Amino acid sequence: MLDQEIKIVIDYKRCIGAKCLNCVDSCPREVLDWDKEQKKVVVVNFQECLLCFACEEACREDGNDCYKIEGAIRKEFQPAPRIDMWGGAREVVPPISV
Amino acid sequence: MEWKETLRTDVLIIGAGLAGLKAAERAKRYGLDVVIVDKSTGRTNLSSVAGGAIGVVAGAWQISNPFTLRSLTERGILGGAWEIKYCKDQRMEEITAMEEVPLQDELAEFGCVNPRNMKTYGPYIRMNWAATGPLYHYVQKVGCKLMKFFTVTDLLTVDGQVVGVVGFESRMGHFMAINAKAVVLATGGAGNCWARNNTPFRSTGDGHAIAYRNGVVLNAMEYESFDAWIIAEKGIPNYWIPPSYARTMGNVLNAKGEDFLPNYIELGPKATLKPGDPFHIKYGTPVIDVVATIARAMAMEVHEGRGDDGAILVDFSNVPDEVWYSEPKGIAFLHLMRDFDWKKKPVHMYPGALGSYGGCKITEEGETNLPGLFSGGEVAYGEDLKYTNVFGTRAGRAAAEYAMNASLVEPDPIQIKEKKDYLEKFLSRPKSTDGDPKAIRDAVRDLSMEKFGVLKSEEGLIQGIERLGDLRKVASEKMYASDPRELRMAFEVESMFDCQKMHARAALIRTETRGVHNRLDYPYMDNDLWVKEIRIQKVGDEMKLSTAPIRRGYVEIPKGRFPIKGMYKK
Repeated sequence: MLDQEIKIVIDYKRCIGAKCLNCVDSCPREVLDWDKEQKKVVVVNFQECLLCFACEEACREDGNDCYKIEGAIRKEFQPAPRIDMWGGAREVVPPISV
Repeated sequence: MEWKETLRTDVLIIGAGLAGLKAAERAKRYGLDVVIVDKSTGRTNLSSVAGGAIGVVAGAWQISNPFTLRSLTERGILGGAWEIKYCKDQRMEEITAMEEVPLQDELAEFGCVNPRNMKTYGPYIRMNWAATGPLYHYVQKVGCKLMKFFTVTDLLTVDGQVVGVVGFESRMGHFMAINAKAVVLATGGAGNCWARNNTPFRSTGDGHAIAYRNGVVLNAMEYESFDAWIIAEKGIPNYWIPPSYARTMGNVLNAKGEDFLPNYIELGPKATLKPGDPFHIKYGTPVIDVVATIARAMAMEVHEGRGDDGAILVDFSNVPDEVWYSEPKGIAFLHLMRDFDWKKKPVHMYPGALGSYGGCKITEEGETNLPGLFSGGEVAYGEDLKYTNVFGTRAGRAAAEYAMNASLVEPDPIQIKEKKDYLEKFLSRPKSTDGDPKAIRDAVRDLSMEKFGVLKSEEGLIQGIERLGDLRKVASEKMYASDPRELRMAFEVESMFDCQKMHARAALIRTETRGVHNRLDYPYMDNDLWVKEIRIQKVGDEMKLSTAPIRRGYVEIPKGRFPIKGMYKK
């Protein structure tokens, strides 16, 4: 379990909504949606979130910088030395000759 | 929705994934006007979110061992075998191109000093954004126009020559035609046509469908790659597990707690079969050579009633902490934030759709059979990033050279109006429960998983095609779109229908098991009959399927029938 809760925080005062939708359309898993009745961006499916930060980045670069994913501890997860990703494939002699 | 004035350009690129961006970058070198359109923001394509494939593109594995015969036949991509030559020749050149001076600033921003050793798991989980991100910024900096939120719905043709596209903007809501000298189709795959998938929601095979409707020859559509290591836990996204956890560490078990992989894999001579050993030591074979077999094995175990809750189990208890919390760092995060400790209990997994091996039939230069239409990447059976990187570039280059010698041909206004009417039909329909595009999409996705999943059979395929037809009938009468965003989804659903029909019909006639194509009723690989590719083309209103001998690459194919281990019962 993490000691911090991860949540999506949207500053609705700054959000320009339907004119932008960069965050909604940047999500690969439909976590966000545009609510037509409430006229605001809503988190509909946080369960599917992959923490890819595409939404945050899209808002910062192309939107109004009003969107943050809070609580994601990024520094604690340091890359460890890489292990052999392809499990010995490197040792195989290629049968393909050119 | 209003109509905007036609945009004119030299080269139009559909899709801002790696193939599209590479094509744009190359075409721009010719000093032409380049427009890239993307139905989303250009950040959600498979190239940007897929896990780790760029590591294969750039990594040492690729340099020393471009492709083994086994990994090719393993996946069954016979139709694309000749492409290996080009990938082999050009791949490193394309990776080197990313190190060139103009890209350095963008690369540095992503923490990539040396693309050959790309830290693909950088600050984000979006590993491949480390490759597409720099290009995404770079192509815009050199003057390519990126139009986001623009969905291309059809091609415009004059006398069989492609002269542009028609589509709509899904945010503000307007129709627009784009008149271009050359068009590059780089729309990616169709993974989201299956309920279980590890692709972005926008991967719905739009390019396959657009190509099909315009008479482009498609081939190898029966091959949809299902990756084995996709999580099947409630409350956790269907996410792909990186090799460091699953491929070298985890123990794959069925509901009885047995390691079933030896029943399916051809074990190497030095296989130890000791739980806890890395994969290639345990089974004596590199995992890359048996990826399709593992997916088949998992599905067979579940099919034969040895699964747990429709999935198999992977025990990660022996994964050391430093690996757990390392690459890619987000994965550990993802389950920790959902209070799921994988080290304490086995994880449910089941294969999910990952990439399309089928698509537009292209030449070495990325040309399709329509003059003016070029294609690269997953939509042209470039199944992963090494193809995408190379064939995206080749399509961009060919399109630019074509555009240099071509002049703009004015599109036919009647044709534009027809295509607009087709879209307005959805907007004019009333709302109904049957016609909700999201509900129809989910029905197609569930149907595909059930009937066109990892294991196929004649009966299932025929039933599936019938049910797909029924769904399409309802959709053609009732599917509505109340706003431009819903219109995009309605269009995606239409694409999925075409795509899945092509997939199922091609799978039905390939009466053998080969690579990622598994037929329960034909559990053998038939090299006497099926060293062929299946081509699909629309002739009139009919879907015509034909077979043709494959163009051979470096692959030598032994004659005979080969029973598939674990699947073939005496």
